[in-house]
Amino acid sequence: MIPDLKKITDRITQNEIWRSIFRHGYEDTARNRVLQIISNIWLHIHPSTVKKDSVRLSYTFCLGGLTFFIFLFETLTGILLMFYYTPDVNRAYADMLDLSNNAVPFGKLLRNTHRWAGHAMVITVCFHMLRVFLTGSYKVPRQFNWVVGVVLLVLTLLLSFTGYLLPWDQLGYWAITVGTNMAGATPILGYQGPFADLFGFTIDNDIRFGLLGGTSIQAPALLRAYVWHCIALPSLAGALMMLHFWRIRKDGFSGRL
Amino acid sequence: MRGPQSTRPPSEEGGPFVWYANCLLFVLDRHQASRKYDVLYGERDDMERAESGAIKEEEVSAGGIWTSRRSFFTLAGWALFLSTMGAYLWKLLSTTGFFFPRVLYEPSKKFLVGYPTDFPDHTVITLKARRVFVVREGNTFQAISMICQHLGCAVHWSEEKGIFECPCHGSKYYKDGVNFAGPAPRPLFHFQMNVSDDGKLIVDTSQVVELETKLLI
Repeated sequence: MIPDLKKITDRITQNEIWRSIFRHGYEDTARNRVLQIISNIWLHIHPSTVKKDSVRLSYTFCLGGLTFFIFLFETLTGILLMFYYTPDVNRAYADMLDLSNNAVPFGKLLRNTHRWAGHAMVITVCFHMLRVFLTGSYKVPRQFNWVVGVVLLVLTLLLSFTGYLLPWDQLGYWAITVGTNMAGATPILGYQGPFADLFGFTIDNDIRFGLLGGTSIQAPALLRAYVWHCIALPSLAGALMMLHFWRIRKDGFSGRL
Repeated sequence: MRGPQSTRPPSEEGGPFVWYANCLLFVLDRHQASRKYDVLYGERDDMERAESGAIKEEEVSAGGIWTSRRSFFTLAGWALFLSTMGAYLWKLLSTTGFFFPRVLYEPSKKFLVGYPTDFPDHTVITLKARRVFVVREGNTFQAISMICQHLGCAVHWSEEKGIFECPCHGSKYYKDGVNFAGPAPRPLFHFQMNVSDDGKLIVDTSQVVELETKLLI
């Protein structure tokens, strides 16, 4: 007996559970095409009308979307890495080596892709901003979204920077030494910066101290980098990304009509 | 309604500060507009009620933004809320706030480095964990910081060249700690040295001394 395919699909799709998740079928009608767009979360990120010119790949090069994709990838691999990494000065480097030496299944792949994707995200953010600048998309009425984007750039750089210390190796240690000493040379706020004496900033109460949780790079600095890297900064960046995408929907795409 | 800028003519566009100012103006503008709406419709309602004899004529006036009772309490409420939030934010971020621990578990800045005889004459001994060099010249001792004056990397003593070198950005210092090459802006710090009661050398890294200062034994 040949099974009736129509009957089977109807049985699967014509019920409350299926219909509560999927609101439309695949018929090629004008109404259905609209439904497919507006009921899809990814397509829904686009404004209700998109200019023909902005749909061209060479207009956006999908750079913002790529950045968001990399952020999601970093979140996924980051969560998996957190299962095997301990932010403790005696454990961190060994845990990182374990991951790199495949003491954990897929450990090397996870750690290396997490690191490379981190570099890639900085690059795509920069190219995204270059594209936005060259197409003049930061102008009226999108200035606010540009400002949100600049904050997201800073958060991306901070995510890179805080992730640098976590392997607790020579490279990360000295990178954070140099980076936080630059913070220590900030005017007024840093103990080595100009006017610091005037405001009473010393090595144990300036902005560098606030970042490191001490006067030198010790256990508190590693823990702080870990918490900023894994929880605080991704949450902030995620919240701002929502705002960023929502503004794209509201303000529409730039470019010719 | 797109946002603040749509109510402003394009000629007023400028830098970010102009834009922020416009945002503020927009908010105030909306506030005034809603006031007008309130006044308009409030008055109409009041007039209807006045006609029906429910309220007296003089109670109808709603007043301006500074004189109306409702506006005053709105502003006072916001002021109270924002100042409370501001106080907590200050408590969180200020130098006595959350991110600044009150107790540190760090190595002491004052420590013993050993007997004078532990240091051979005319040598530079590297105390890596303490981030300090002990330089002996005859019967004089100096404690020189390992921290490069450029961006805080650890410099190392080069025996064959007789200088201190920084691996990060190539700063170079003479044996007395004076910088002569690279981006370093000033000589390495020299620290206070002392002798303990049982004859051991003490280095105090919280006390920076002049370059010429030496401990004479």
